[in-house]
Amino acid sequence: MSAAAPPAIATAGLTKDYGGTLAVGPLDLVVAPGQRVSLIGHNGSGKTTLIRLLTGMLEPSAGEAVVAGHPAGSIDARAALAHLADQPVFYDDLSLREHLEYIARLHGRSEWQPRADELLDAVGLTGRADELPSTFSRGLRQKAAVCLAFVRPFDVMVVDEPFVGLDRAGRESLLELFRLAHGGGAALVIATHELATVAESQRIVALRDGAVVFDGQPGEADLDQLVDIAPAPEAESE
Amino acid sequence: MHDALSDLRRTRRARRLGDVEWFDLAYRVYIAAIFGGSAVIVLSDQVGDAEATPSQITSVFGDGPAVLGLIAVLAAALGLRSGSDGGPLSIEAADVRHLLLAPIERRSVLTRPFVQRLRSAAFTASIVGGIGGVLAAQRLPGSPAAWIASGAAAGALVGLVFVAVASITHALRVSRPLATAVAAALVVWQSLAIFGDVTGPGDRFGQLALWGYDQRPGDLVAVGATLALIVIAWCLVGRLRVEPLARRGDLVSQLRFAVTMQDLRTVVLLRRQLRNERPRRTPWLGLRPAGGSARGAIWRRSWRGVARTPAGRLGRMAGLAGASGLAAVAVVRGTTPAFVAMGVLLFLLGLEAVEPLSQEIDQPGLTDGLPIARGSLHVHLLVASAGLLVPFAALGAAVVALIEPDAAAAAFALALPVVLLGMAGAVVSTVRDAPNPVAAESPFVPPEMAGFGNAMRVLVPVAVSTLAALPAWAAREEPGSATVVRSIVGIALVVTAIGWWVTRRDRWRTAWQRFVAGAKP
Repeated sequence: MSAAAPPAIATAGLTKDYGGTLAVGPLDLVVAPGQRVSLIGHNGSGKTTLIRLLTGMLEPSAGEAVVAGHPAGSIDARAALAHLADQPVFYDDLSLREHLEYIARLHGRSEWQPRADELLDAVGLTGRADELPSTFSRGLRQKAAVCLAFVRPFDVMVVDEPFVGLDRAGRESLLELFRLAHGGGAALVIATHELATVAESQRIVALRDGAVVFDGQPGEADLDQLVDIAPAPEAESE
Repeated sequence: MHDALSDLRRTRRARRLGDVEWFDLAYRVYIAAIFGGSAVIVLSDQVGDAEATPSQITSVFGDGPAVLGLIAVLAAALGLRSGSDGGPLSIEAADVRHLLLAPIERRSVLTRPFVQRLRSAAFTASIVGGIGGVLAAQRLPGSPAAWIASGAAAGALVGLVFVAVASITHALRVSRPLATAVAAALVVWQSLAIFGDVTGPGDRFGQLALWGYDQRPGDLVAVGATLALIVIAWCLVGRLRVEPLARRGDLVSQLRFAVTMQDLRTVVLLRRQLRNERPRRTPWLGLRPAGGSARGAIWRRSWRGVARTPAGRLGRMAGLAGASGLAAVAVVRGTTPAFVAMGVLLFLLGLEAVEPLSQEIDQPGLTDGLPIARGSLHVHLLVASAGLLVPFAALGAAVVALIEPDAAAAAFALALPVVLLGMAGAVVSTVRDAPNPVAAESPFVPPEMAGFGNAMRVLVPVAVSTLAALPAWAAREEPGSATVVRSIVGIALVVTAIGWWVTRRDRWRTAWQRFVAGAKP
């Protein structure tokens, strides 16, 4: 990343309210290119709303969000930002491999197969690539969603509770993919309760009732005071 | 990137076609054609029993354009409301996640669903309009073919107007209050055209529906206006908002499943979510906490639910009540099949009113934890619903009195009993959908019987509500106070019987199951 590169994410007065209930903001937040940020907060603190505002799935009530120098939701922002959601969504009538082809090509990656094979192997889904992900168990769906998020090029990735339903091997694979993406220069914003992920991040942003209550490095915060950081759950039995 | 979109759509279409059971599809079309055709023929015969008099024909062609134009205006008004709530398009949740968030023009993604929505709305509305043409041909001069064609064409335009107006409203981000205000202004304007000498915005559409007998080239303005709306909507389709599309994408797939399962309550709830309709935060009337008997607690609970009825639902109920009044007038004037429409409208009105009961049915776990018999609880929850219906009954009667002043006394006398019987059908529907707490096991039911049972689950409640339309038919055949009194007594008996069934049904089921268990070897 060059020094002149725009921030990966920049929000100014970003606000979302639902008929008088303030979900987020006003929020002023800047994430530098290549920065790895953990977004923490208790349930209902506004993490998911913030992520959905950044993807363009929600429209701000006030303020603005910019992704890699482009307004959130614009074509250029969509090209720059990958979203790994907590609730994976698939087409009922496409296999996992067809999903991968489709997503990769939509994002301009014509040589998608080597990358897809690499990802399928990383999460242990090589043998199931021709099955319908809509019929998968919760954990396998999450692994399939991980493949879809990483098969396309991106400068910024926003991730919402990525470890839900994953077994230990799946979590390790995902953490490794995060490391590789970060090493490749991508900025990561990960909303999570997992201590292992928080510890690896360069910066922690804690939300409470839609406002930032802490913004600093992992060593500076008493995490237990900020949020309930959950220990890693037991491996899911498939 | 657009190649990827095209390839995907081609793959999915091929797969869908490959998955179709063609024999099954042909069988469904065959069944639908037989039942649909039979229904239209039977209805046509019913209409034929009272041919329009010369004065009625003059009235139809004099007042018809404005009255029929109201349908087009209502379609535009509904479109305004739908668009301000994020309608009319609904796309798959996966399309929202993977296509609308992909770096491609949203216009290329949304054009196809927009065209499909236009097509389906035009097709459905043209079928309804065509059936209207069949009915009109029975009583009015002109060839059946001309009436069917003009009815279908006018119906199609109405469907197109709805989709185009909704899309424009959505794309322009018109707020709900503004959309409601514009919709209300349009309806008031057209109403003035019906009752006065004003030219209404929907008159040309109404005139087009009468082309079965009277063709005027100037009416093609309606076609031009509709095409203009479609072009504007098509130009704006890329500006449709992702947020409502995401919300609707999740809900619509659930809605389709609920419709497949004929789960009426779920359909009602999901449609309310699609409209963003929620109970009021601040009730219209506050009820202070109080002690007292269990029965008093139930009544207060039901009144509290009613007091949070959102304004939109009240408006919808007013519309249903007014339309029921119009249907009653049609029955009295000789259009017998209108009693089916009246029954359906009263059923829908009842469904809106029995919300406290529906909430209780939705939460069987809470109900089963109460130290009170379920049937008794359900019946007592209906008191507030009946109270809520009083003003709507008066509204329906007022509509009848306005159009048929001679029938005013009978209308006001019968109005409340009629809407209560309409509500009784909704009660049957709601209570039958409740889980069965006394079922010991699920008996095996062959598919043929299950299909029949599902159909009955929907038809029986509507049939009960349709009984409420019989007094209008009776008043036509034998006008007089004796008919009114007999109707009220008859309705009271049916309503009491249904109340008794609700109270006792668990006991009867238990007794039946004991009997069946005792008969087993």
